[in-house]
Amino acid sequence: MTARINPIAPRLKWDVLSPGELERIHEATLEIIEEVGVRFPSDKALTVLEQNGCEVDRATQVARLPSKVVMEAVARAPREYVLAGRDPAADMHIDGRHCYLSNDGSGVFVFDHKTGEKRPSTKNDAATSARFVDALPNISYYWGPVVTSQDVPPATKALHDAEAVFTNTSKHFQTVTTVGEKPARYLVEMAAAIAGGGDKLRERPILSFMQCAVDPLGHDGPNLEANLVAAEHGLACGFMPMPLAAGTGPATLAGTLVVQNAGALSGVVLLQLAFPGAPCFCAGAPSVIDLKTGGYTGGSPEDYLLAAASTQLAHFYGLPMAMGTMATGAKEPDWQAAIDDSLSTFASVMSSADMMNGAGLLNGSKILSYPHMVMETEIYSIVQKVAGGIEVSDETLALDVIKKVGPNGTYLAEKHTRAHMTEIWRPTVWDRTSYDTWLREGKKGALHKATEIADDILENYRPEPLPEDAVWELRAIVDRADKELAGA
Amino acid sequence: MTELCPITTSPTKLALKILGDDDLRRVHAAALALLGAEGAAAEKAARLAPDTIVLGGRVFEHHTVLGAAHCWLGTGGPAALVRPREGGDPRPATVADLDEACRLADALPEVAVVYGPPVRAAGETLLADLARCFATTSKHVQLTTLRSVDEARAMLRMAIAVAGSEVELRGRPPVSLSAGADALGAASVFARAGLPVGVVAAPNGRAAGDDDQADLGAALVRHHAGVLAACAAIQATVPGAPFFYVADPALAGLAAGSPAAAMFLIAAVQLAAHIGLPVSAVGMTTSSHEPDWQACTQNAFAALSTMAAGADLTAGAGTLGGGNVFSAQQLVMDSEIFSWNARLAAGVTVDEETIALDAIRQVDICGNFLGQRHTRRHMKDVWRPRLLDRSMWDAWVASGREGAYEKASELVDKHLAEHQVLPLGDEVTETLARIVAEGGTVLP
Repeated sequence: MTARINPIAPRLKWDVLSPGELERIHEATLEIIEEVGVRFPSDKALTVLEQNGCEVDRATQVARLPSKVVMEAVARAPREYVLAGRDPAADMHIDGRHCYLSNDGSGVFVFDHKTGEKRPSTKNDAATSARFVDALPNISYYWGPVVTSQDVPPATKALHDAEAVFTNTSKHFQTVTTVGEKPARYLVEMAAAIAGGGDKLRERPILSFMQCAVDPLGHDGPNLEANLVAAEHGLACGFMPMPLAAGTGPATLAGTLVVQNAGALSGVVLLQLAFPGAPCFCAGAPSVIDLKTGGYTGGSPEDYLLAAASTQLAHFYGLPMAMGTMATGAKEPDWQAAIDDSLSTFASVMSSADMMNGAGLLNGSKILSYPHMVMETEIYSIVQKVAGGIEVSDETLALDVIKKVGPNGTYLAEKHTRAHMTEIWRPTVWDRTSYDTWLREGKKGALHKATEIADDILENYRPEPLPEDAVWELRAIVDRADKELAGA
Repeated sequence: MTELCPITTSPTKLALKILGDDDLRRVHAAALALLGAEGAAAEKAARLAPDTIVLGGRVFEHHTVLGAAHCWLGTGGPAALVRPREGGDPRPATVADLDEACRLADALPEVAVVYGPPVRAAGETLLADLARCFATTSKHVQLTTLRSVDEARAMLRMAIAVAGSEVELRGRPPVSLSAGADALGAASVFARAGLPVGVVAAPNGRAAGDDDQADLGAALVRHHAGVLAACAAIQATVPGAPFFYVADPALAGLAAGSPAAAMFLIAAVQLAAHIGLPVSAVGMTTSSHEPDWQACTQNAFAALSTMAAGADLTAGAGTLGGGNVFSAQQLVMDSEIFSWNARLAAGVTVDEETIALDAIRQVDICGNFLGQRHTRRHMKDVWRPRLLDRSMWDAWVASGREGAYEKASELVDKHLAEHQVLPLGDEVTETLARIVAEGGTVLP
């Protein structure tokens, strides 16, 4: 039976920063957080910080966090925890030893691979995407939504998204669109309804939160307050800075790492001061500016160095890291998408990013393509194989077999080969046929095969249904939220 | 006008490892054990070989140095077929294709070494192929097809003519040899003259290259033993001869572009470092038949494996179908992959200037760094693509949905229309023609 989820436990380690360099960026981060400070535009957050020894300027909403406070707060964060699935087989053990891939999130278009055109996403697309992710073992949890519900009231969009997700996947759900205290409380209520109550949700947290930070050195008020609600209920949460070197970060990578680290770490400090011991994580999607347009590059070598180094920094503090991974800027699942996704995934896995966000979107996280998501899971499986490393033992060195086969022999009939041949990685969408076979079979490339797989899932896959009473309960909560928050 | 663009290279700061220290020693010891009584001598011989090797170009700007913690790119080859530039099915390669491939390699700043030669022109001798390579690029040529001792001698004469003298040949050798066990005799001819060589001789005379090896550990042991044995044979003939470690998944019997090939490459680079030899790795050998998504994933992983592990030369650029087909567009696209990986391999510089504390203090919270002097000083350091599309969706649709392949095609056309190769000179050209006319074997 196929495993429900398929994390990577990397044996390879790629340290982009030396211990001395790591220490230096850490010290620079503390200096900036203490001297320049970080903007927390939330009275609730500022009060928490002030009560814990931080210097707060209410007019500018900037808090200066003493190094001692920062390090003591970070020390309270748990090193390991579980992000539960509704299906226990989909539980994620955040323990520093496993890398879990999610889908990408917050897209606004769906690419119709039959017509080649894109269209705005709807709540139905959020639901379909959750069902699709549920079918792919290489995608361990649902992040987002992949594409947002744009046919519902904006004020309760996140709750409609969540309803679509919860009813279509039994994997863990990490929301990235829930902002503000009230929507967050509604969402927690929805998760509790599925889990069987608040206490049960705390025991088996099927929901977690991620919020974007505002670079450089700032946070967004509603985002802060949503994460404070999550932490209050024992749900894991974190803040994702996305500094652009030469734009919202210095043009040099080391400087941008300081900005990235300050954003992620300051969020963790707030959460630990408010709710000591609450599960939390660092997050990040640092990049560089596109010098031609001033915009987001959607993939460059600097991105991957920043990703690996940021993950090293999070682990330096003993904190998990959720790293922006894949998320190509390509418009199609093409050559450009391949290099973006391959190197990005390699960097995140080799630096042991605990969570990787994620697969399925094109054009800088805007456009959902199901065949593209399938192709990205192939890239994931390649990296998984390489990250597993080479086992060196008497059995794998096989000296006796090499001597026995001798010159010009073959290993095909050897028992040793039969014992190990199933360990050889096999492709799902790559083509390894001869040129003539490939020609005869209609030049079917990876995209063709991925499209066949995607169509099969879309047509035939059915997830484990949410119990009917829970479905109705979610509907009632969303209705209530529509009335209160959207005036519907 | 003749252009002499310096070759693009990058320091390799990162050191990706797949074998722990104990595992590394264990694989090395197993390889020595496989060599039996010759094992100890082979290990000693490896220590005689120099740890840096110059691969000379015809001009200083085109010199390549192996063993200096920098990464360099080589083309693939020899491909018997060529994918036409205008598209369509592959066809047998001609001398015109060889000329184009070498001229394109000469024009691309990322390409340091013309490997192979890139295409094998139908009906031509290897000597004639080499003469064409010398005429159509001033970059170093690393041969992979040479087997005959007589041809090696003839090529040596050609190389002396190109270098100017036997002394200059040793200082900046314009040609080197990378091959399997059947090239040991030819390699000895090269080594005696100071031309760099890298050979994989399977232990006990066994030909390397089974494709049914289930266990990567065993493949590594056999390959490493093959390199040690060849190194010992060369050093016994010419102590101190420049010898590099050939890391070629095909010679280890591994499927082109597979995860196993990527893992093998990382381990081979580690093993080379363990015995102090520079590495020439065949890192780009996609099995895809087109310059597409699959070709890119395979070559991106393979190139990352060699370059992040610290290989000196990553060869294989420009080929499809497991090395059987040359494609000009693929060479440009692989050059972009190299450029991408070179930036990765260079890592992150951490010092007072790059940490930029003053710049961070000067910028308002939630402000931007665009106007900072620090940004102006460093913005040129930001890597810039040639083939990626970063436009908005509507602009991309308006452009006809141009992708990397179309951009690569434009670059190929531009280079082949405009690039002029540094001429060899009449006297050298005549000498090469005379040596070619004296004879050589027509390749099958």
